[in-house]
Amino acid sequence: MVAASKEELIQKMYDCVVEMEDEEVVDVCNEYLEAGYDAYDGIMEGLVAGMNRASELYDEEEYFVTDVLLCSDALYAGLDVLRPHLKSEEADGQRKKVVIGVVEGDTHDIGKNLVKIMLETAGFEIYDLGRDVPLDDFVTKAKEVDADIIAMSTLMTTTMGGMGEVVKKLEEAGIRDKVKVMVGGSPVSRRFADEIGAEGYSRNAVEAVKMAKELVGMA
Amino acid sequence: MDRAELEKLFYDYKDEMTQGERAAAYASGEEADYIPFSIQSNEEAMADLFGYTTAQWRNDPKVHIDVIKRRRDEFGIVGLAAGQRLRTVGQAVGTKMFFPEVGIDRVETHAIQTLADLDKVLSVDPYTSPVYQAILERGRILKDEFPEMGIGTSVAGPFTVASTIMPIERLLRDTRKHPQAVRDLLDFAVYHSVAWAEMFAKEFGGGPCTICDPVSCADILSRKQYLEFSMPAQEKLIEGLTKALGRKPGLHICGKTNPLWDDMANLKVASFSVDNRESLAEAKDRMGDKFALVGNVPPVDVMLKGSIDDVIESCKKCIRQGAESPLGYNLGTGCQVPIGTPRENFMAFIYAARTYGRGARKGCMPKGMEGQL
Repeated sequence: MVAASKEELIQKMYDCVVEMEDEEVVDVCNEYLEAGYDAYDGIMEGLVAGMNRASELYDEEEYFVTDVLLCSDALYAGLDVLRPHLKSEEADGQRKKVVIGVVEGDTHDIGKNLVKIMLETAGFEIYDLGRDVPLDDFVTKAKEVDADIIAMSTLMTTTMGGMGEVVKKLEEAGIRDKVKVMVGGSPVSRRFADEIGAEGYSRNAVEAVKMAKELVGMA
Repeated sequence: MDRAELEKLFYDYKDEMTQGERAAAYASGEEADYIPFSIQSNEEAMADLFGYTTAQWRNDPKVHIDVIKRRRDEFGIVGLAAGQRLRTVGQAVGTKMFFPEVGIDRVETHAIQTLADLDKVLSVDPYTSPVYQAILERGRILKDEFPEMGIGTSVAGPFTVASTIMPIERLLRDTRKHPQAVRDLLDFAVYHSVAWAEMFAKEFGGGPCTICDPVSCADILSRKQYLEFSMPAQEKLIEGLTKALGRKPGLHICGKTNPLWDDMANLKVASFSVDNRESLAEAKDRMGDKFALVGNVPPVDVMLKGSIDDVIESCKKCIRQGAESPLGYNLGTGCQVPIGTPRENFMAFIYAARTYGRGARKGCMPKGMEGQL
């Protein structure tokens, strides 16, 4: 059997992510490493490019939430194999940092997780605070990691107010001008975002990535 | 319109029909004094308006009674509710819940994390569940206090119930990986909800029922998943509820539903409450000949955050779009009205129903809309 070329294996990784093959992708990544090819190229041109394609398909309503979740399972399965083989400077890089979470009092996090996956794929470094996050934690984490963006979501009208509180807390902490604030979630609107002084609002995960890139000058 | 002017118009108004007479006249095709309206799930917001926390309303029957009394006296809204909330079945089968002092209850830890543990919940008998008994007991207390008011109930849709038993992301993955187990969980959800309806009917002799199914929307499910999983379960639920309660239930789904409407038109429900993110006009064109429509004043941007004029304009727009729906239309909010909604916005909503919905007849533009189109 003729060994697969680098390009063929990268194409296979891409296809595995797009086609949600979370087991096959592990074999392909291992084969790729055994052949001595560069981990960084495999991640960026294979896995991440595949996830970007999945995002496009979601945007085009060819793919739905479930598809994106299964694609991301394949993405992360592949990353687990390739990441330990990154050279250290590639692993660190100068990526823009996003602190993300679902505000206090809300344990819905499916939308946040989609945004996280897609931001990560787009090259952001993500600090995920999870769900039901105390408001102060957004500020503390943003200071600690010198974040470029704070992204908050909610699905409940009762917890929307917490987002405005975070904006105030950023002012009090003196770092309001250093970090952009993005909000999302079904009860949130452009009008609400303006009212609380958030720079970014997006209706869905794909828009959120575009918005994040614009906010930090990556667009 | 300023608050003083609104209050004068609001308090000077004398109803010609009771809420029940209005609904009956409208349903039978007669002219009603004005269009029937419904401000969705307003008890939490009303409790807040009357100075109570959500927890007081939830825990103290006396507070609950006072909320209903004042809602009747100050807004003219009557009617009792004793029903499942979105997460009640989850709670009954072992999901750990958190009930905040102010705000809506939420899931802390799901009863199961994987469908491999499905057997752990399947054994829970709805007919002996203390969670349901407590809701029945609250209903009895309210009915004793307000014997003249009708009592209705509510259940959560099957996919929504399933997502309160097991995390939604795993559930979605399992629609591909373990489809039969997902169907088994959905059937179990239907079983519990129908069992609840039977207990409710035994206690109160039937009544109206609303199905709330926020998870069964096109933001979360593909149409394929809706057709394969959610809709067949909804159909079983609707059939079971109709049998148990002696009438067809209404349905509310939050969020995007437009891609599902041609399928949903086959559901045998009495009404569909349209979320504010969807077009009521299009809903009327695509489903209006199948069931009545309700909606869709935006709860946050208009009811919570809007001015008196915003509320009135939004109500007018909804009446304009929905009133001619062939099987009827109720002016409603597009989803649950938020805690913190100001008093004057409730008044403005009701004022708009009375004024622009005046002389309402099923399938026709109300007389109050003359000169407003």
